[in-house]
Amino acid sequence: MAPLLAYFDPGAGSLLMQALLGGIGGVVVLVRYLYTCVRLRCASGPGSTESSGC
Amino acid sequence: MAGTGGVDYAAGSFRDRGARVFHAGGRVLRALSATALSDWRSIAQRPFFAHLQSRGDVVPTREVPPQEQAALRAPPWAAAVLEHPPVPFWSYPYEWCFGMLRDAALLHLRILHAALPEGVILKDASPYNVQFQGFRPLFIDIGSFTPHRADQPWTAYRQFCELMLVPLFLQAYRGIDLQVVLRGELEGLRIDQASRWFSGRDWLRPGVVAHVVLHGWLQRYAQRGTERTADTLQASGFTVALIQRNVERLRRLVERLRWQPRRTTWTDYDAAQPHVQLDRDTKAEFVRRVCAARHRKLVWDLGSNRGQYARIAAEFADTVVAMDQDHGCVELLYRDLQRRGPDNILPLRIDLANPSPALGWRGRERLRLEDRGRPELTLCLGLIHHLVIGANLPLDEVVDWFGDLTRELVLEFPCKSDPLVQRLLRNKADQYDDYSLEALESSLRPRFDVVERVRLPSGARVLLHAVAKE
Repeated sequence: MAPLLAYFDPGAGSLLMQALLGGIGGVVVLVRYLYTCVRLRCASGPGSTESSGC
Repeated sequence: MAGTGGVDYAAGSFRDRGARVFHAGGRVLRALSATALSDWRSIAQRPFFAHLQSRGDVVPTREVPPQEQAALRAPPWAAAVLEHPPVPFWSYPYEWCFGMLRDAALLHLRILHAALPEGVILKDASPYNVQFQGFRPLFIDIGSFTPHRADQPWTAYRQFCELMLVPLFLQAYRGIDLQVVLRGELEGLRIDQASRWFSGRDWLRPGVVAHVVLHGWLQRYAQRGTERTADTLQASGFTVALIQRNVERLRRLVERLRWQPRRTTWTDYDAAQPHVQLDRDTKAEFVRRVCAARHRKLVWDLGSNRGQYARIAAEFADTVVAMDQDHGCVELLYRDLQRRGPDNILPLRIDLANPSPALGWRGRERLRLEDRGRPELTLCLGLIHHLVIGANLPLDEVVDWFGDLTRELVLEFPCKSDPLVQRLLRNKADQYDDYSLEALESSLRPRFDVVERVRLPSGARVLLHAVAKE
């Protein structure tokens, strides 16, 4: 199955908001998400142009 | 059709390249790409889809057999063609009342609630994917159904908020007419700006902090990042259960939203005016006689108020479009139709001095009101004085507009001695020399034959039945 992509930009903030609205389970997802972001940013370094997804 | 390879595409159907609507021989058809066809065949067999169709929530759809397709002038890229029955009269969210937009939002949420457990989602959440057949909302965008993997977020949540939830909040919490907002912004109110429409006190209202304030803040914050948020969320353990919980909360929230129209001159029009009451029976009898003379496909009732005369017309026509500029009247009529029918009256909020124009890409995406189907009969009762004296439209131009619009016209003309005309004039200079029965008949003469005229019992109003000259 192809990744779900709409013909419009779903909005990064709106995607994150859904996790927040999902209750305790969603908050856990959001914490993991933020942890992944921090880890990827540290790994890529300040000069990196690679997209971290965060 | 320039630039379309001879395919008569529907003007508003271009965003989703894999499932475009086109017309051939009066039929409504949808061309599907190979991917969209595969999705359609997989989705059409699922129980939730049959259930939604049996409830009348989703437009009836059939796959056109390949041997029929050659005659349809389908796009060359089409792997298959679907056919839908035509909608009797096309309307847009900026013409709907609060209850209609609310029901369109609830329909989206009901569809999502049914589809998600079977691995299907709607790829967008636009109220333009809904049309009304009378008071019944109908989901028309079959191409929006798409398979969904359990770890993928709902990409259309922002669109749902911008085009439906925020306009509903504005109407319910702030009393700001949603039509004004939606006609100005075809894509809805940007979520990162939406909170500016709300006061601090509104933060206490259900849903505002989460879906508007926090949502807007997160959107502004996350815009600074790079792409692939969805991928990272998936890797962080996102599940479909989070969407289902959100959809269920949204359903409860939208169901609780209420807007009570204020009592206005218009909502109490019939009850408050003694001479209007006096004329009512004669007027109803006249309208019934004209409507019963023959069956018509489409009737417009302009200035329909609470729909008294639209109801009479609906007994003898396929579809009646009841238009009024007063949002409260349209809302009350919609609720009344839901309670006791009939199901062939479409209530719309239209200001005839400023009717819906052509909007969107190249001015073709959303059609102007008059281009969506011309009425065979138009009722214009208790309205002409508001157009000429209230809105300052020249009488002969109004008649000319009728001449371009309709084959038959039932028009009520209140003379200047009428108390309501006097009320319109009380604080204005009377510059309306063109406002007289003689001037009206003279304007009608080049394009219409007046076949019947009746003076109403109050003595200050005349009813005319005019038929366009061949």
